[in-house]
Amino acid sequence: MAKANPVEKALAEASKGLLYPSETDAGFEAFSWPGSVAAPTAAEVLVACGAKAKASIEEGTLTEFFRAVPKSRRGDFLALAAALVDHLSHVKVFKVGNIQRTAYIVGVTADGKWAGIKTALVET
Amino acid sequence: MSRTRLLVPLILSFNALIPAIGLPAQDAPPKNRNIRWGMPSTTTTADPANKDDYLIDRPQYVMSYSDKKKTANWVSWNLIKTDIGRVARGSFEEDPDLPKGFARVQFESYTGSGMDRGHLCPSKDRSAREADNDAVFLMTNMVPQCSSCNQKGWERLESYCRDLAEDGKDLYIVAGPHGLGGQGDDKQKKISIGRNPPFVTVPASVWKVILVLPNRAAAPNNTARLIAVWMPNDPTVTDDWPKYRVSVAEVEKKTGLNFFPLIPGDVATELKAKVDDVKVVVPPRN
Repeated sequence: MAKANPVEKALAEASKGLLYPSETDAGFEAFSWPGSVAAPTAAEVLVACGAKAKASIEEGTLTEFFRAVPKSRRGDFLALAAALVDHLSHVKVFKVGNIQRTAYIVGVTADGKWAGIKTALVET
Repeated sequence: MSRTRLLVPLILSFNALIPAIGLPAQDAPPKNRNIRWGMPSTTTTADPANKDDYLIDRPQYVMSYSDKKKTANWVSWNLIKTDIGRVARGSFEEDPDLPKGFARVQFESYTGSGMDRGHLCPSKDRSAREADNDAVFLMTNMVPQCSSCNQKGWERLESYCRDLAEDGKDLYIVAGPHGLGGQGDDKQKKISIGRNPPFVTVPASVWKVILVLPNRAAAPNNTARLIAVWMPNDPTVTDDWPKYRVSVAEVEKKTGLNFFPLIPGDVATELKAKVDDVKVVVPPRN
């Protein structure tokens, strides 16, 4: 699939090689969704990511998301944090599912689309 | 000899006898609520010379740590409704309070190992305040746990305990690893994990003992509920945690620990001999 979206490309670049530590470790994958100039709601995220309408979803902030990164590794995530802020506005974090969860860090691009990165989490 | 001169030494010697006898009725309960009914091993101090039974006493839990295994021997905590909140999860950090001469396990020791960073005292049991949650993310509270165990039966029991706490119950929980060598979901047998030292011992099993009291004011009597489980650290573990129930006496026999020593002896013996048989329906996953 062609990655025409330059924001998606930039986010893929900034998250390359990073592992997000939850009870497991998982890499990131960039994505872009059709969207609007407004930040997506939880219900819109469930539709966009193809989850069941009744799936568990929890909304949080980027600060909360990066709180889980060990202090010794926070430096590794600076470029990613900067890229998210550079390329997206209204950034939110949605965690979908229970225990084996997917985190979608999603915001609005300058041309009014939704884009972001996702990663797998284990949270018991 | 006057009466007074005779009485004074008598009173003094009688008072001196009481601590020596150690009558339970004379003892105030431990200040730390996490060990209200006593600690399971005899270690009573944080002695750096005692490297395989080093006591860590925190407001969030009390733990005996083994520098040989690089995991806890046991972690003991109290769980009530107000312990459960909604703070964002903390980060896995080395334990800064381990004394000099102890190796500090980093979160990277688990990276790529095929085993989960399995909390002994779970994140959500200390989720009312950030500082409380940070304490359960210290690496001393982790064991290398098979994903199936961590995410299925073990997690289901943790959730069950929180349901009881939400319902007003007062829970005293002790959990720990046992034995050498577990299996990841990749079916590989692992004795220890870590690319570089310190290598962390992978347990063969994990166990948990739970004293359930009806409320904060209740003291354990022969109607108290004691739950114990013994789970293999391998991919066979399912959501059906009740099938792993054993008696506390069995966990004591295998671990050499003595749980809740401040419960009066006759009550404790009776409770520990039973296997919890309360009917539990594990809810479907959503």
